[in-house]
Amino acid sequence: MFFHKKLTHTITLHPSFLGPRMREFVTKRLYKDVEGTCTGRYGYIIAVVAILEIQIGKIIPGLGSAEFEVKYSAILFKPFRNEVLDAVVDSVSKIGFLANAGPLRIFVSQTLIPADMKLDMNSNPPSFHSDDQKIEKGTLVRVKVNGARVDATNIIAIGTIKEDYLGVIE
Amino acid sequence: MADVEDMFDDNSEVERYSEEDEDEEEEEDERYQKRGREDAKKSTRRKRTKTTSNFLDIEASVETDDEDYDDEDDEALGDFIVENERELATAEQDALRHRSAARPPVFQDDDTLDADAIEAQLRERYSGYATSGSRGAAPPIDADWVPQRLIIPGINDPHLWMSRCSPGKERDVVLAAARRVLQWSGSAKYKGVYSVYCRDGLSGYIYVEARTLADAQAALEGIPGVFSSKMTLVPIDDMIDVVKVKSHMPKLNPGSWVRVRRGNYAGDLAQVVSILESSDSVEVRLLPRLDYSTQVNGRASKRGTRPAQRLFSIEDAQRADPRTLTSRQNEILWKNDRFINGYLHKDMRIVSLQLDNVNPTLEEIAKFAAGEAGEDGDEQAAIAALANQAAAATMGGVEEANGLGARDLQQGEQVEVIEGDLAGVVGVVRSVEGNNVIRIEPELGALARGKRAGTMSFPASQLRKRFRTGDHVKVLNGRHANETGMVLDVADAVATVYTDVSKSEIRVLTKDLRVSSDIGTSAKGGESVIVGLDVHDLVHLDGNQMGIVLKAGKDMLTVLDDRNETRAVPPRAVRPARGNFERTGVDFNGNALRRGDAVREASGARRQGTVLQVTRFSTFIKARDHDGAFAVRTRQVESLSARQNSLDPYATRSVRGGDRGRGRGRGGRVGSLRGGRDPLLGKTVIANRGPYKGYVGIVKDVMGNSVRVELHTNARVVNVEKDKLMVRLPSGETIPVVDYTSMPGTGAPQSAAPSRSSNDDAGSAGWGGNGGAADGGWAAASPAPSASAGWAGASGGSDSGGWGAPSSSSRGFGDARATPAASVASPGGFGGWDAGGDASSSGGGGSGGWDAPTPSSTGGGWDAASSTSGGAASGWGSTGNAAGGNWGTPAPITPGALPQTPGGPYPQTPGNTGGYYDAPTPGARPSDASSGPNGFFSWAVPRAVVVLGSSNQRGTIREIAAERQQAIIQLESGSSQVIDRNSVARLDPRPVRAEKRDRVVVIRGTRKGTLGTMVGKDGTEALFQADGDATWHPEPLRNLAIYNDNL
Repeated sequence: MFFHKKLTHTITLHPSFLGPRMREFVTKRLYKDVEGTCTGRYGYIIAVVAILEIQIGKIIPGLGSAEFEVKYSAILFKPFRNEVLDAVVDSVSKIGFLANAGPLRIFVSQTLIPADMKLDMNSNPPSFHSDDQKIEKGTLVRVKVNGARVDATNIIAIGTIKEDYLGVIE
Repeated sequence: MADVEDMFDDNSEVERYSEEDEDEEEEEDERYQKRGREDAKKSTRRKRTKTTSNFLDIEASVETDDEDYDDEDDEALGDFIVENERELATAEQDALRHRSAARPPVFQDDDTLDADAIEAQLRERYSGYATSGSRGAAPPIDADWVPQRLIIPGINDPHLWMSRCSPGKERDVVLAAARRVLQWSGSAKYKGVYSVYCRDGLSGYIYVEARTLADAQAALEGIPGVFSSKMTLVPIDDMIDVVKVKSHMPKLNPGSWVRVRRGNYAGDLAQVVSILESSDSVEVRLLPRLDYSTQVNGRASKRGTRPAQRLFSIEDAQRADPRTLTSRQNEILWKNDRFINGYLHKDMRIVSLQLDNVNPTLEEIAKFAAGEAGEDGDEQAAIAALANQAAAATMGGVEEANGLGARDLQQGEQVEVIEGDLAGVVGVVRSVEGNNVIRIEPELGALARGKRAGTMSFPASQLRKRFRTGDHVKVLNGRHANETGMVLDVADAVATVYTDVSKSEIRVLTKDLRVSSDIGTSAKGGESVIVGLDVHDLVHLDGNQMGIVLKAGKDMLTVLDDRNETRAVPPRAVRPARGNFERTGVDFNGNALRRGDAVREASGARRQGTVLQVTRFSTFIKARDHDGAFAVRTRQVESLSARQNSLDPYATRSVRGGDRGRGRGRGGRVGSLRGGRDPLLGKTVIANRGPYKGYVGIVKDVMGNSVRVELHTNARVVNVEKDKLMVRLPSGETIPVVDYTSMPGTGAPQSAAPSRSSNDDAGSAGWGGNGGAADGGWAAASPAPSASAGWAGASGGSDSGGWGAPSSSSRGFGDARATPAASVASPGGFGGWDAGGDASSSGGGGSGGWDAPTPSSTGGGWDAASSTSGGAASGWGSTGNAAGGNWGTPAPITPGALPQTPGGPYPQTPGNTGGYYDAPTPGARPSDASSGPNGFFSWAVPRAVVVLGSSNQRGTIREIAAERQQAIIQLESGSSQVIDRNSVARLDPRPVRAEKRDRVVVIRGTRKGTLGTMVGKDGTEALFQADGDATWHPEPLRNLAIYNDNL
């Protein structure tokens, strides 16, 4: 699910940056620091929407670097159990397939693929297919998230297409 | 004695009660009565005896029964299983046969009594017995029960003697003895012996319960197989233990799993089919291990190879030995074995089965289920069913008897009721009670009336752990123990788990799972795996190949070998690389490579990454842009790391010096005491204690209290503690390391001062300026309080030279290294320098230490020193020749021995390069023209773009040769220009000033050697972004040179 949320981030600038283009540096650093990262609490930070406030920096005694607390708003993406997502199949292996929903990798095990979809490792690329549908690399699928493990730096989800209205999107 | 009789007429005993009386028994009974009456006459002292004997007897009879059973054939088995009442009667009779004082005549009219009458008699007899056993004359209210533990033998009871016999003969001996004692009936000896028995499991021992040793001996005397001459009295305290039967008799449920302990099926999983009542045997079924071929050949198969588990095959049996093959109903009999549905059904004694910790793996169960599934092939269902049974049995059955009770369950776990009225109810475990009762708080949902549902108790066997798909779990037991993953699917008691590490699916019993958030590395802790082998560890493969572990599964490792090939090997096929020292390699540019360095392939795909492991030949790199790892030849790797290495003598120093030297002046010296080079480095040391005692080696590294020493003898590097080492001085004497390091003149890290001065910007520092520049600096330095100690220490940088630095002379340096003794540099400084800077006083016997050298006009080189140093291997002299920057050539410690030692003078330290590159140096600076060359060779790196001051031509340094004495420059015009020490001044090559977005290489400073991009410029400072680094750093503009990628 996507969220729009206000967050803060502290940026430390080397004294050599403390000059006329300081704000620019801070901004750049913020984008660089937070965009594309993943935290267990908020999920992926997809994009910084706006920088709301850059507080007055504080010099760290003894170092000369300055700390700026930046308030910004960002689009977050965090998967939840039972959430239905559209994803692109990334790879098919004999135990199931991996699909990407944006930054999130979703693994769909063979046990969670409808029984009529048969694995065909000999096809090129490998695919699961039933009579009228085929899942191979690049296929768009609709997946329900069954569970997600949140690491420090990424989220791995398990999904299913073994329910109504899930599976290949035409 | 009763035992003896027991054994003697075990069967008849049963029969006696089954109304098939025989005369013989009558006689016997009468005998008992007689004895009973006789006993009754005995004093009250006997009271306890009775109880004791009773105790012993009953207990022992348990054993006896066991033994007897063994002797019986199958037909007898049925008879043996007597009804409870009968059993009870037997037990009672056993008790009675002891010398009960108040035993009424019981058995004389057995044949005339019906069961009720017998019962009445027994009651009467029993109560009397108990009464007589109790203290008071009046029967106490609860007198018919005495706790077993209170009936312990005392000193007035018969004693127990132990005698050895031939192992295996115990029973024969007991029976023989029994026979003999019976023959004595009526005599005095008869009364002296109470029982003779042996214990199962304790081969070679016979116990005789008797009044005197003589009686006991008489009972056994002459019986073959017994050594009755030597009898030991069992201490009273131990008597109980002798007859104690382990009360723990796990309750087995049909369906529970057991393992066979011994024999052909040792270790095999078996399932209990039925419990043979009142015996210690159970009927189990197993997957047969039959060798049909042996029957064909008519010879027994070789010992040690046992056939694989396979369902019984009638065809094979028919072929092998058709004669013994018979069938009845659904059973097949073959060679005395019974097979049903292909399984071998066998009656086995419980003692030969392992009941707890069975932990059947899913594989075993699946194998087992193969037969069950039969033709319809619904293996899945069969597995599930079996697994359920196993789970139930484990949770409820066996464990219960062991008192472990549902140890698989933990508070807070989700469980589901699978049996009983409340089947299907889901709840959370609230507490686990001792007797295998689990209290759960059910999630009743709408059923819940009140606010809270309260808790309910269930036996563990009725519960099953519950997992939902997506739960993150950890495997607790079994083959996959410690693996973690996410639950994909749960089918009854079996869960499919997608593992975190190996990204594969495993199937595990739910009872072995627990919800967990940690992520396991499965290789660790497994018993079958080399302990401690972890992902990315370096391992030896077959031959001389090395590799790193990519994946560590429990029974399979995925290894990347040095040919960049991935293979799967069993853990046993690899050997962890030894040694905890840090391996280093030499990269394309001659720099040291270490783990963690950012590197790039020098050719080919130019992949980048971080070094995971280095060996001399190959480097394993974790790719930057993807998850994988790859192997490259170490020589084909280019380090991008800013960290310079010890293999490059100049780099280290100049790098170190770079930062510190700047603008610190004297203050720097203080710093030098902390950081910098340890005086021990490169010293020749001898271990005088410990395992390496007597070994001689060279100090490679100093880490706290331990020193890494490269042994002379086999070039191995070992860690030795400091206090076990002696330093060998050039003079040949040795002093303990501890003393050595605290010596003036050596105490200080030596490289400090010189390194400070060593680099370009050093000029700004008082210290840093070498040679001429030093004037100011030295002047400042000169008031050094105590030349001998403080100074010498501080200035160890001059390679232990004490800085005599008398204030009177601004240039009054003492340089220990100039002394001939300075072949090992620092020792020259022993004793330091007197405050007066008197050269002759130097402890090292240094003769010419004080050259009081006047810096040459060219730039403060210590040429004078060099001349007196007698060509000291320390390189001092030669450095002197080479350039003015002697100070910058720090600590050439063991001359010639190590790479660190600048055997060749690389005047790394041009404090005074010419051109714009030089920071403004306060104080006199030597002329650029002459010192410039030094500058050039100090910073020159291949591929740096330079401009020749003489012709204003641009070019790229193609190579630096002849130990940095010569460089070849590829000019833009196409021609090459060779620059050497002589021509460098004339040609005056300078680095081309980098501009924004230029590809640059850092040629000085802490990041020397780093490649990167210049991101911007701010005055004289450039913003430099190193390759592979997201941030940028300020770097003095003159530290950067344009880097030509396309050479």
